[in-house]
Amino acid sequence: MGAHVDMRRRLCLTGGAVAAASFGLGPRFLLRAAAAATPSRDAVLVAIFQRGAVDGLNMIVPHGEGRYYDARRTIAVPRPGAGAGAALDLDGFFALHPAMARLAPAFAAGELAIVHACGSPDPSRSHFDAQDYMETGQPGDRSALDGWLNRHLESAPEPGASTVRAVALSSQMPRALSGAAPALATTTLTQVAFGPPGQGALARAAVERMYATRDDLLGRTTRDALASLDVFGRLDGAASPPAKGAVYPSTELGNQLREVARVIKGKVGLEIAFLNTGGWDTHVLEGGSDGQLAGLLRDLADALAAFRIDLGDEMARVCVLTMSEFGRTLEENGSGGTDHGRATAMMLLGGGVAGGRVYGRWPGLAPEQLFEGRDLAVTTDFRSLFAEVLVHHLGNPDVASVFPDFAYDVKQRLGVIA
Amino acid sequence: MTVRRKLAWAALVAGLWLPVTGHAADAEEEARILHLAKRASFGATSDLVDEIRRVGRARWIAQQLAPSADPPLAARLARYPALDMDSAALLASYPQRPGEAAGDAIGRPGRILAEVSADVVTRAVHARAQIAEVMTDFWLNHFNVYAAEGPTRYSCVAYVRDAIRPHALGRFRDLLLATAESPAMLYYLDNYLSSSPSTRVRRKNKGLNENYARELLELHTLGVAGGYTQNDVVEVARVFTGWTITQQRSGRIEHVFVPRLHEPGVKTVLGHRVAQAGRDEGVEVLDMLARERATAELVARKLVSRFVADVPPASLVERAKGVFLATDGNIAWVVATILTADEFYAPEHRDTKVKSPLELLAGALRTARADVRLGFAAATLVGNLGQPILRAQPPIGWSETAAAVVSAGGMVTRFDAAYLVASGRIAGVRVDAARWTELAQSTSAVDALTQEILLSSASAATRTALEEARAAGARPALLAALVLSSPEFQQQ
Repeated sequence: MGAHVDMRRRLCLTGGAVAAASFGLGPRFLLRAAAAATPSRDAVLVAIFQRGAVDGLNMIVPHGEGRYYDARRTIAVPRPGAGAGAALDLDGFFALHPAMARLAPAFAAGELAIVHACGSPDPSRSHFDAQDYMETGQPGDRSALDGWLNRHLESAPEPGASTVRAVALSSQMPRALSGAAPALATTTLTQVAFGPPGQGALARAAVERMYATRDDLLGRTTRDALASLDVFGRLDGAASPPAKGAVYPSTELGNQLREVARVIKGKVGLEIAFLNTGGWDTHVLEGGSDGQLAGLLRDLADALAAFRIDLGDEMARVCVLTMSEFGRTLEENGSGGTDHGRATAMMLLGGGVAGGRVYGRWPGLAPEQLFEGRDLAVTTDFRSLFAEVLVHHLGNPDVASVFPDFAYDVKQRLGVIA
Repeated sequence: MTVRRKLAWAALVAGLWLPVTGHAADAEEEARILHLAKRASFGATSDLVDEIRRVGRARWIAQQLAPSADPPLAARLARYPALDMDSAALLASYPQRPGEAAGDAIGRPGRILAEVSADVVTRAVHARAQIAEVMTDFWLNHFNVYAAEGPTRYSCVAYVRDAIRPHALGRFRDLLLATAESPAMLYYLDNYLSSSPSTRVRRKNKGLNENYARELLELHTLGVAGGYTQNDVVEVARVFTGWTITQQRSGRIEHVFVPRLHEPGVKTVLGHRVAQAGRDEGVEVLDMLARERATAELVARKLVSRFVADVPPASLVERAKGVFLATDGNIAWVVATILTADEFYAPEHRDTKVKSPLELLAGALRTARADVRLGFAAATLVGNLGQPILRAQPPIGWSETAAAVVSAGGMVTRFDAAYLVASGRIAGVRVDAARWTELAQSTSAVDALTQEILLSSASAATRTALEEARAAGARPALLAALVLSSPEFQQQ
């Protein structure tokens, strides 16, 4: 199955690449050139960063481990079958937080996969370092600046790529998409013009000229911004309400996923969408089945469930990947919350996902199994998951460019992409 | 100020009396004045440039670092009644009624932060003490709190007014202590809940909460590479157990130290033994942190980055750090060092910093000689531009580098905002739009408008764009908006 999907981005060497090879350029160049020569690509990755470090142990509950219940007096999610507020069993050992019930059908349909005990090889418990590391894909290297998704764009260039090939729904470019390749950061995908009524075209022409020749960040960003207005303008006519049954929550995440779905359906060349959600830093009154974390998880699950219904058959080419910089302490702290920990759980949703399973080696929750005696240990390097998505979903085989210093072994892969 | 410091000030000021001879020197001095006016304020205006030229750069900096009363500004700020209230008055005047939606209507809790935000914008536009405003903005970001939830909706007033503003140009140690004991920070970083695991107080949740301890070390003082360990984080958390706030139902939100919640015993922080001393342990640790070299390095680097360049010149960081250490964290002294440094005035750094949303909007309003009567809508616009005031969720606050400030959607919002300013369409703000008409009617309309707004000539591309827009019938307010939308105006 894997080899078959590898072909999603067909590796056909062009004359140009062969000619380049004869000048003695290395194999990586060949790989890039081959990827660049791909005639068409339609895979979409929707990356969702849960900023603040989601408590993976309450999101995907290890109800088969009694120590989970021992360590969390007030915030544990009750075992499946324990009545109201019980976790929703996935495989006899893990269970979904009950607030995520709307995602359960996706798991049952084999379109939702979980990777547990996933995280960074770097043990930093700093939100900002750990987020940077996860976004650069270079854990431990504070000097790394560009993001793994940008390096993907760079290593799999597309001649004539859409202005909206990579979009961050954010007022600032996330590290993951920062770098040499063009990417767009914007909080709305619906604005198509600016300036005073009646003189909008005039205003736009003037701005276009002022920024036309500046080869700096302001110039490049403004040119991209103006081009994107045109793309979103083309979508305007095709603005369709979400599909029947797709009820997005009226939240920032719900609105953003609705806009992303609209752009995917509009087929304007979107390949990477990057979204942020906040509030996961639950040091205080995290709650169990109900409460603060439950509210955030409900929003996430409801938005994703609506997104899946809205896209329907289009989900075949879409993969949603959730990530968070680290997990949280096994023990609840003195304030009914949890402090900064190590491993967490990540989710993949999509038609090409080998779902219905919880992946990863479970390290256990006994004191000697915990990292530094307190946190869920990392058994899956987030890079192996991201690399699998890169190669098998996005069809970019150039792992070495995207995750330098990381040896990706295709034979050892999780198999989370079908 | 000690005699030694006074002498040092005099030497610093004397060093700035440059021998000015000939036109080249005049032109260079003019360029330096304009650069200082842009970087040490929320937007250069011709009035500000005249003022600096009149008193001289050195004396202007000295005056700014010891600001005097500003009655016209005080009159404007009187329109925000929450700003003078203590927590009891705020709780009584802006009560949270059960079942009532949040919001910033008059009398609702959300109104308080709206007034605080409006106050920030009003001051940025109208304050004579511009450096104090810039530094208040800097410290609010360094000691970030998210003020739109829970008791911070009330305590944000005291946070800005009593913790940050009085110390913005004072001693770093005082600022650090003021933030540590501020109800806003105690709530935002959860320390109010952190207690000794062995406390005999009956409460549902007891035990350490590491949140404040970690960010104190990582973000407020040493920096993430400042040499502390996870064990130091836990020890600092133990030190600050019992630093909490009064419950809202008591009718006040104030800092209190509750000895029963405090973890007894000796603590060890960064290898130093902290003897058991209740609340004083925390003060001792803050004193220690404020004097650490790593803290001086972090503060110096951030300040040089703010005033000089996204990639701060190492030589100036080193000097600013040295001044920080030598003066026991005298912030005014560090700022003076930066604003008088050769690196600060180096031509390669001029007009290279991309303005933050507040800098952009306040600068546009200052340029438009706006009269901010009520700053609510203007503050909302700062949020639309990407950095809502006192609403950064992550403790690290907003990043100030160009890469973080510039985005595609953000540029379009900037162009929209430029038109709202130039056409006087921001509620509560009056703009003299007739002036644009006047300038646009002169024979060299484009020159007149760019000189008025940019205080210098524009690039060829900008001039061409403006000439074409004028020829195509752009109205004066749109022409002014286009100058405010130009790449030149995005930078300082």
